[in-house]
Amino acid sequence: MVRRIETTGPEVVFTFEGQRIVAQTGDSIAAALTAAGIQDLRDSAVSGAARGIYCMMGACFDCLVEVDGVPNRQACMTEVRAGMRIRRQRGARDIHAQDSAPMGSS
Amino acid sequence: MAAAATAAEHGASVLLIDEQGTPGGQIYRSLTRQNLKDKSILGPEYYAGHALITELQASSVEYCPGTTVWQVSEEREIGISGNGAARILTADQVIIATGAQERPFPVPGWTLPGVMGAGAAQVLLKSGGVTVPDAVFVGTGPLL
Repeated sequence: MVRRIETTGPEVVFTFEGQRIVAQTGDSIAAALTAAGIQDLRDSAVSGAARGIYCMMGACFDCLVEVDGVPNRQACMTEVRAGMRIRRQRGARDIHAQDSAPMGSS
Repeated sequence: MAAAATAAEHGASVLLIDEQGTPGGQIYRSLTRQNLKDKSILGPEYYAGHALITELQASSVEYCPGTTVWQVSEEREIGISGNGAARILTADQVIIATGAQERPFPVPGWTLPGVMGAGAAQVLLKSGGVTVPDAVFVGTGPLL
């Protein structure tokens, strides 16, 4: 069971797979989802097995998610923003689809 | 941070490229926006990092957060990526300060969601006060 130690920051609201999540301002997407008890962030493009956070510092790329339609975003390196629509990264990204997708900030 | 501030103090024009969104590296991670009410959790050694960050911020160093370096060529052309765009910079001198990284070893189940490095657990604590009270720790090393 995950617990968040008492903090003083303002809250920010986003959605994960359509589910409303309340996080702390300044959280990475990965920290916000972990605090909400969500561990399964993507499927392996090779085996289809579920994957979640592993290094939390931008090295392992195991926490890839789709943010506002942009695939392959590192959940641990992306700060959560109000209104973000986040989904699991299902398998490999579609490179051609990304050509026409808006670039997000990192 | 100390190298950047010191170089600037001696007259160099310094750009500091940081993969993280705020200064502090791994040890002083999230210090500038740390909002844990109980300061004893991370302890005085963590909060002592304010001195380094203040020195950096008071210097002439141009700080570039949220940016990844993906190449340094022999001609000291530096490839960086940030805010969804890549570009090439040049520099007369380059200081590389990658810090340390964990060396995880594969065991059955290590890729399961909910299994993470000890460093990852520490990042969760420092960057949002997120803890797992019933966690099981496996392995060796200074972080454990």
